[in-house]
Amino acid sequence: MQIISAENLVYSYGPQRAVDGVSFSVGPGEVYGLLGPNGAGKTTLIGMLASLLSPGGGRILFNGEDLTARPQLLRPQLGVVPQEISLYDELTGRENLAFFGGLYGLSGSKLCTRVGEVLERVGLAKDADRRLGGYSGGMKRRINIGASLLHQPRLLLMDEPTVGVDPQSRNYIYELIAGLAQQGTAIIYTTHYMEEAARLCRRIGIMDHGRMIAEGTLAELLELLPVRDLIRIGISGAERAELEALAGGSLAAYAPLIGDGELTLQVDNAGRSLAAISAALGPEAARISDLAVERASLENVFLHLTGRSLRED
Amino acid sequence: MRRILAICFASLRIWIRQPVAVVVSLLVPVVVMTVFGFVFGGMSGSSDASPVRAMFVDEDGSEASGRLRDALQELDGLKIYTSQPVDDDGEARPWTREAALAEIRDGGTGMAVVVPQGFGQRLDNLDFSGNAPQIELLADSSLQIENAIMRGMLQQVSFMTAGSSMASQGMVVMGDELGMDPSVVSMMQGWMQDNAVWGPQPGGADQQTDPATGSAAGSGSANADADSGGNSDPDNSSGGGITGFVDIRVVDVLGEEKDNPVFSHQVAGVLTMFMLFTVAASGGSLLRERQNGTIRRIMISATRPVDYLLGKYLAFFLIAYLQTWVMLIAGWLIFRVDIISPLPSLAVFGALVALAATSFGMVLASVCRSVEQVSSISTLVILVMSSIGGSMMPRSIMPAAMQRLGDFTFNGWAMEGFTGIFWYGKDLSGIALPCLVMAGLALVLFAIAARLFSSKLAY
Repeated sequence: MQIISAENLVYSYGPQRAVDGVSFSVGPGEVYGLLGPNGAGKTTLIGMLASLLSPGGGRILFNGEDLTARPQLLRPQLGVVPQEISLYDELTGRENLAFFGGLYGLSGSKLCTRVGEVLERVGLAKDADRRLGGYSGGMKRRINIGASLLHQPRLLLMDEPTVGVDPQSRNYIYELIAGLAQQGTAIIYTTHYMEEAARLCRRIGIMDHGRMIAEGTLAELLELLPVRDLIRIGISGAERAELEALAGGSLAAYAPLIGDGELTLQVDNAGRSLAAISAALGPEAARISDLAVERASLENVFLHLTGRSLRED
Repeated sequence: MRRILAICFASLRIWIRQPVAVVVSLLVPVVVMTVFGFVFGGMSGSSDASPVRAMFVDEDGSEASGRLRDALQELDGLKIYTSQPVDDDGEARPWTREAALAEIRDGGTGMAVVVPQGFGQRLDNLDFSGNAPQIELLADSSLQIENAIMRGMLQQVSFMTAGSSMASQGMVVMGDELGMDPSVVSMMQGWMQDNAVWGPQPGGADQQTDPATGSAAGSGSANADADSGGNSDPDNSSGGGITGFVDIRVVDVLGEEKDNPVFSHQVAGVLTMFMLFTVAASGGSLLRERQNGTIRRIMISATRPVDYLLGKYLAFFLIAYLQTWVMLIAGWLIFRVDIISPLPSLAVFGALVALAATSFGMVLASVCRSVEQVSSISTLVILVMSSIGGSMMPRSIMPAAMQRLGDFTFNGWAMEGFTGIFWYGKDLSGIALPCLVMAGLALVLFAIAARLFSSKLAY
């Protein structure tokens, strides 16, 4: 059974639809990536999943139960890691965790034990009694996640939890997420970083203008592309006219894009295409000064589906 | 240079694009200046300045006391009440000493001019032997500015009232000393009377002491030193007398055991004003939590919005209440303002003021969109309320219109309660109205804040 299922969710701000008929589901132990540019509707979708916003249409099922009438069912089993550091700089790491643990009904020795466990889990036990204001950005991110784990939620919503984090802390967070998933926690993970989504998420949903425009595993999404690889060829001393002649002539089958002294060719499989390209170039192959192969990524999928880059606002 | 100008222009552009900053920088000072001008304008004698109010107790019932009353009534800037408010029988009784003392102790009209029995007789038989006629000024010494104005007015009026008698008697003394013919003395007295040398004398010639029969015993002595007369009863006189041929003895009705009335007012005023600043800052912290997503996170934990608001309300109230007591204790230690005897009243009223102030802070947080807005708007609102409400200057000396406006301010009611406790020694029943107003403000403002802020607690 899925932990959470969204069915045809709709939400509008006035006349503008922020979420328009979105459906997806997440199972136990699954990390589900939610990709999309700013304004795609991810935050509004998370607001509905967290039962802070009432859907204008559709429904949300948690463990098979409809949350429309009883949103409070979800809250005790839901953890949310906001994009902002939503903690108190004036309190220590331990005090912050104890405060949020208390809000989830933990108290006494149980609260102390859980706070200690979470501090160990996020690797901040040694710094637990320092004020948060003195933490590094990465440490704050980790404690920000820790504050959502105290009550051992079955569903965790993570909103870009690695923004502005150093590589070491980022890896720590990746390991933390993988560990949570292994324990059966369902995780919905929004991010701008395609490599993060590719690394962490079993399935990925791509949102744009409030709609879920594609969904599937990384391999399934890449299948949406007409080509899988890009080959960039730099040609020594080539003028634009010469590049245009090549693009319109012998290399026309590879739909080349003309750049500054280079051509970018689109192919299904770079390894199998190189010999054919070299042959097509003929004597000009001797002038190749640079050659790079770029694997198709989620960025290319998004570009292919929407006509713009994921990082454009 | 180009870089400097570029940075300068960019900074100016940023400033212009922040309407709140522009308003705070340009409009707020104008508003504050205008309000302060109206508030303190009353002190410069402008036409709409609130008059000094005093009761008039005539124990003498003589022509002279009548002249004194009439002269006082004719003065601009002074409002004299000769009768008590109409009672149940529809009678307006004249003020008596006891009734006037009770009125002052109750915090009503703060001063009373008492003309004791024998005033007229002494005035008519002025002998320059130190036995000068006496006027008493019963006063609430917390009204220091009004007291000073009143003393000046009494000096002026007593001089005008007694001047003719003094001059007439002086002529007798001078005639005796110089061996002048009584007819010459009489002629000179007549001339002085006809020409009103010492000012108007409503009683006319009848009020003149007959130089021939006048009791000029002890003639040749100078006019009495009124200070000695004024302090003749040190038990109930703290203000001392005023030098003149009529003694003006100031009796401090309320300040006998109080070290300095100004500090009572200052402690109450500063306490109220800074409590508002504190709760405004606390209110700003709500917005900070909203901006950084902490509130959203708390809401997700199944905490109800009302629980969050009440938790914050309780914390802000405790901070404001702690501040109240820190300031009260400081006032007690530094300025010897008595907080021990009215402790229960202070505890309850202080709590009500802190509750109302906390609600005010919550409303600010609920109507503002950012911490910066809270800061700028609260500064404006609190300064205006403090000046109109009497935290900076007693309302009694403000123009009448500003006094009425003060009734619509938080500070006005808080000050009324605190002053009632500190200065007039009232218990809670004596300040029931300020207590009710504070409790009402606390409830109504919290309800408004809860309603407005709950909508902001949404995602």
